[in-house]
Amino acid sequence: MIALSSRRFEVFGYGILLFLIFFIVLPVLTVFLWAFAEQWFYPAVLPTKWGFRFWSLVLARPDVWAAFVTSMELSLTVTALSAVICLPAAYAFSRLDFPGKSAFMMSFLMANAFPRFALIVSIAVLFLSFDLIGTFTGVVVIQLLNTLLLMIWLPTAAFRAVSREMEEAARDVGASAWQVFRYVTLPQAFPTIAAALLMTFVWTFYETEGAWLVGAPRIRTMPLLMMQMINNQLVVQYGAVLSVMLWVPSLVAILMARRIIGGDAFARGLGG
Amino acid sequence: MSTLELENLGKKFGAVVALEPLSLRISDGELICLLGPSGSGKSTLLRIIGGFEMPTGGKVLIDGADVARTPPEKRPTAMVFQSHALWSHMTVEGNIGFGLKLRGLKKAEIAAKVDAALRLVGLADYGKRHPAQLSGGQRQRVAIARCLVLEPKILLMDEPFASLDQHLRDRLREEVRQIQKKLGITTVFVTHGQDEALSIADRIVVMSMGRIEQVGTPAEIYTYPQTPFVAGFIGDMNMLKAVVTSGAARVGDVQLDAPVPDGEALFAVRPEDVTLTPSLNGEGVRVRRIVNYGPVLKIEAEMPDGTLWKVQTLKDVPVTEGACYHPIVSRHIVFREDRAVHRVDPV
Amino acid sequence: MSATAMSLRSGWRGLAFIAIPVTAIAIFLFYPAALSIIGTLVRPAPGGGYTFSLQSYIFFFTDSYSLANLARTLWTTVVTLVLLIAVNLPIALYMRFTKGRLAAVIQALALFPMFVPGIIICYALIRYMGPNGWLQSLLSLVGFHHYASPHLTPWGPVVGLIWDGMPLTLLILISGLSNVSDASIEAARDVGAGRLRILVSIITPEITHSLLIVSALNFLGIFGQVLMPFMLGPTNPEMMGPFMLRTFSSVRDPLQASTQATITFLICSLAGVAYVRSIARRQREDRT
Repeated sequence: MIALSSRRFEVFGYGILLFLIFFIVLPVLTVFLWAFAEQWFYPAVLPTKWGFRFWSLVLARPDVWAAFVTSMELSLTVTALSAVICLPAAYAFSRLDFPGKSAFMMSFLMANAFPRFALIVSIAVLFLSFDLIGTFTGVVVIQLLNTLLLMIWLPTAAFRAVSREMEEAARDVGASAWQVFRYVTLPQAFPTIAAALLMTFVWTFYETEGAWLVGAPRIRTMPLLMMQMINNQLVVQYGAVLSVMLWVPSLVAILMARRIIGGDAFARGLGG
Repeated sequence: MSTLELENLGKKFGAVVALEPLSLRISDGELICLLGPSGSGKSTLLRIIGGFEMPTGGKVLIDGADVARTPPEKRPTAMVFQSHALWSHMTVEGNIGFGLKLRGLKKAEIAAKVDAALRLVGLADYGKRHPAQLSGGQRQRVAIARCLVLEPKILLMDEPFASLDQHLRDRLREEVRQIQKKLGITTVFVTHGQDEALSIADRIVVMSMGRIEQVGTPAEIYTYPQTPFVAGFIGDMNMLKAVVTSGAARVGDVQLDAPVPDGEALFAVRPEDVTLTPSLNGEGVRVRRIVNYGPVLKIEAEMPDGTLWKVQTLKDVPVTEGACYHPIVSRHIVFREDRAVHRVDPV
Repeated sequence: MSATAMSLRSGWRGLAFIAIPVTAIAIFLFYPAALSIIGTLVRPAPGGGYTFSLQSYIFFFTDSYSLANLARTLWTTVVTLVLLIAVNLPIALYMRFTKGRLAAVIQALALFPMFVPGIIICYALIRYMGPNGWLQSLLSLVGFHHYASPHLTPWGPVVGLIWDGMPLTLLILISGLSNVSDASIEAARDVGAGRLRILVSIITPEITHSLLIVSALNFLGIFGQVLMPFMLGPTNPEMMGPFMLRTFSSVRDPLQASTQATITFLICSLAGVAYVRSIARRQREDRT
């Protein structure tokens, strides 16, 4: 739209930029400043003393390591289970024809139409009678349910995007149905599936509410530990150091994932 | 070196007839074009030969053996797809060698065959590239090499050049024809472009609404269309309705011979089979428009009753817009009940 | 292998492939939801057997604390929703009609919250906008000394929820705006339509579907939020999310927690039905 890109439009753009800097960039920057601050008294604009002291303190805490191990175990278990359960379903939704297909697809979307936490509460009530509250299994089930939608939706889109002619060309040169899947469909869909796996892992790692309601007090994940550290405001830096330490690697991973998936796929997956 | 025979081959999708039962014999080394508008069943027929659709009935005989129920991976056919369908995650070599790898050939053997196939399509140094690094024409060449390397008995091509620009299409078509002749491979080529069909095919199968309208050499199809559909679909044609009385019909002041029983008939006249001679008395047709195509002029002329005539003459013939001429028809075909019943050729 | 035999086989295989996730959804989502709703209505009677009872609902709707929590939740949801659209629609419009470096930077920044886990957002916002936070330092540096922190006021969760909801809202709106073709806008300009006219007559009708989806999804997301209101909001009254959590974990009253969840279901079902219907319609349109 050349016609609209007038000077006023440009000013409008810089206005948005300014808003986003104040609303989004500066809060995140605050975390980084605190992570490297040994001392920061109000109203100093920058930390009064810089340093890495709190990093070694955080790394020396056994509860941090315990929570980290718990979270890793949980995320790996959930991601693996989710993949095993969802990938065949995604393939079925994209490539096979079966009775009730669209109804089943709708029922998955329906899960989106419930308030998530209210569902978790009702599941937790059921878990009470199964003695699953406060157990690893209970948390795995809750978090698995969280990931089902994403792990079916993105791979379904990925399988769908593989051109039929590419698969037919493979059969044409002598590949059996399984070989077509192994050598053509899967490699073609792999980048998106890998991205979905990565996002499932990261989302599970940081999932707070379900783990809290079902896991507390015995299962303590990383976000729950962080929450505790933030609320006991004695040492501000603990939260900051943990955030930076855990979040930066996941940020890199997710940025890579998003490069592959593209925003439109997200929006379409949710029905936009 | 193989023959392909289709016997009573038909296909229905539910209640919809995609292909009415048809039979066709394609001899060894022949290049056949399936030509027709979209929805004519030509692609369905090709996909049945390739094994991607199951026919509702009939046989597909390759060298006498029926493969109609054989899945595509077990058929001695190879298909070049419209979208080229190269596997973007493999290199050019990987694409061409994939079928050989599945057959369990040794690496050295595969490399040699892939190399030969690449040289055949003129892409000797492109083996290590990925499809994304190739131009549209190069991709289609790789797709052709991928088929040829398997030494199929029958080569199938589904509008392979539809996505390329005119210039490239002409060149590739010529190359494909050369390669096909050199290898002597029996080929079925689907297209909706009549130029493509006329220039490349040994024989053309014109299809419409799931039926074969006519099978013949390009010259036969062009000069002697057997149905009004073929007459109208291939090239420009004047289609004129007229009433026959005692062996002839009149369209304006033009008399067309038709030794058939009296009644209505359809006359087909090619624009280049019409010559215009100046009319002194203002009768005949009035020239509305002249479009210069370089070597030829395409002329639109109108009769007093509104009937339009398309005429094509050599560029040196003097014609002026607005003037009146007598059309003289040297060749025409008479159709009745959708079949050609009579033909008048120039003496 | 005939065509029908093949599709029959693929039918069974398809059903087998989706069996586990479908069962999981049924057992762990629909069944507990139904069970807890029924559990709030049907109580074991003292002498054995079951009786129908609205006791827990009567308690909720006569308890002033519960009602205050519900009102606070509705207020937060509506205010956040309105602000989300008010903030994101101009950004989406800007991004739809501009190309170039500035637009790319804006897109990257606006989608950034997607990569920040909720707990880190909370921490960042507390340190940034909380009392004696960085924002206050920066403002007093330029001579503004009357900063009132939204932290632990009803506005705290609103700020956090806008942060959280921004990327999804923006993505869906941009996706909706991509349906508006340049040609249709240029045609409208050709016949002399002004910017406002174009917005109202050309753009708005095209994105009603997206606006509906955005509103429904955000309504569902905000209404049941736990983390943001817990970390950033006041404790009395609190939002339904933390309320349910406390009722279940601290008060240890699963019956009342189920009742609260059921009331949440009911209110959210309005948004849920709108969402599902909108999607179903879209899928039908895609098919035809």
